[in-house]
Amino acid sequence: MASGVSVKDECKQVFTDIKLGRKYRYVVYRLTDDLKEITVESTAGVEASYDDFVDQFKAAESSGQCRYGVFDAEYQTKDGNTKNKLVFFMWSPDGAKIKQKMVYSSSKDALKRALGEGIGKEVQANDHGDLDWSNVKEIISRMDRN
Amino acid sequence: MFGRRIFYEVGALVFDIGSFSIRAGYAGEDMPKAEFPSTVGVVEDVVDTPMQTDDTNSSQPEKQKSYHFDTVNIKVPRKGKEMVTFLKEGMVNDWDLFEKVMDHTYSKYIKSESELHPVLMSEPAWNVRTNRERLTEVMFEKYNIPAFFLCKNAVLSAYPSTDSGGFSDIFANGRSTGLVLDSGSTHTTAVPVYDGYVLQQAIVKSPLAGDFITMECRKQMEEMSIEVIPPYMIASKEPVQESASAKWKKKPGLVEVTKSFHNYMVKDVLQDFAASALQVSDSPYEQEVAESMPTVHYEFPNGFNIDFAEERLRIPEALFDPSVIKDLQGANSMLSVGPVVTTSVGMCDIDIRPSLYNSVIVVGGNTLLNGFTDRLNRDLSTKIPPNMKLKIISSSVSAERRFSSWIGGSILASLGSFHQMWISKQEYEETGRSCVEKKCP
Repeated sequence: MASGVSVKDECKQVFTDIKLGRKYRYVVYRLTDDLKEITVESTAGVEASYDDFVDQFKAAESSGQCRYGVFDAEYQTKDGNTKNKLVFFMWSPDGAKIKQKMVYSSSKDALKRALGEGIGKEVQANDHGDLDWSNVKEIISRMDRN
Repeated sequence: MFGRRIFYEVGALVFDIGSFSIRAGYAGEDMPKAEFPSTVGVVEDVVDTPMQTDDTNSSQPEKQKSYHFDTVNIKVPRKGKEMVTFLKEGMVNDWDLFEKVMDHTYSKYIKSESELHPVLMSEPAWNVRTNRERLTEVMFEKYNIPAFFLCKNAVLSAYPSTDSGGFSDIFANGRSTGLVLDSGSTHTTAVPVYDGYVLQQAIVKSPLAGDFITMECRKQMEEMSIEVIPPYMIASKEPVQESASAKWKKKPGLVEVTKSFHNYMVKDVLQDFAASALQVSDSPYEQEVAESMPTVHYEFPNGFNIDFAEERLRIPEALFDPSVIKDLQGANSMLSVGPVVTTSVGMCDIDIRPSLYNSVIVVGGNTLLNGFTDRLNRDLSTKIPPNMKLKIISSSVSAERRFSSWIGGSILASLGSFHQMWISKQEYEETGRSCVEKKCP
């Protein structure tokens, strides 16, 4: 079930830049104010941290809004190797406005479809606990073979 | 031309149909225009038709039915009035009555031509194809609507009012994955939703729900020799001492009512009793603990009043531990609330189980029983694997909780972008009723 919201071309472009060019650490997507399109809100260079990414989400939360994002996560596997995974986030804080939640949930599929292949894991985050790096790391290392 | 142009300019309608009540109104508004019971009072009047000259259709007395809707109206005692519903397990099974209900909704609340407004309607997650197609057909053929959309209630958003049925909420709670536990009047169900799609094969249902609790309350009253007198029979009452026999006068000249009407009215009293007196124990029921709990004073419509003690906890305990049910065949094979959830999750792919437990959304009138969510939390925490995080979400604001299902539909149908999702009349005419399977998966 979908909302029919459209996705701007730049969303895919930025995602490809991360996926193939390692150009950014993360991208944050948002719906335009008229709730018709998904667009890029911000990006940050590879030097940015996970905390910077989460700060973007928290800023949205303070105005009762939701966001999507893709974060290029680097983490250590159990045997000490370093791995990278592109993690897709839907940030829908429990305190956000119901209209925001409704539109973001029902439009997520459209965005993911537009981005195409390459998303390693997905995190559905509804509170700060869900955004904790420890939680995210747990989710992304789940099902890792090594 | 007329229809197509209008379709983007006039507001869509949202119908949220639950086994307890129906919510209807315009998309984009905060609240439904109407909420009324799904139960309808039907009176069959035998009318003698005047003699006709045509021999083929004469002399047979014609049966005419009159229909009574809305909370106030259906509670008026009328001779021969049967209380009926058009739903079975949340799905329409009496189509004539369904049309009567829709006629009533359009004429009394919507007050506009049905051919002007697209309609978004809720359906239970287990709705079957034949039913969905018939619904599509009725809406396009009988009501001539310009566009239609059917939404699985568990996916949409919202909250079944004082009782079950309606849309539940994944989307309105800002999620696309989660498990909706809906305990309404006729059943308790667990519906897992992954990425916005219902996992049909893992839906689990149990009859331990609101109606069952009402039935247990009724048994309890019989055991305590309390006669439940519904308000329609009462002309006046006098205050009496606790536990003393009630002093009340029966309304003179009461019409002869049907059993279904009387039962409906008794059920109404018992539902009020359940909502105000019952308490779900926060740990498995133990008689000593229950006896030490504070009692609750309850006054029946006829003035009889008494304190309820351990019964308060024992009655709802059956939802969580069916073995406490006396003399009920097959009680042990009924799934209680905790196992309904764990069984459903257990049937889903191991990879998504953590995300289901992390978003258990509790909806339905029966879950408004005091202590329901706390007990569920306790029962589930002891059963789920320790590496998984449990999060139970239940809205506490009752007004928003009551309509959040309808509200979810209202938001979706009012989105500018949603117009491309509708099944238009043209599409229906080109592909027939099977289009609903394709457009509304």
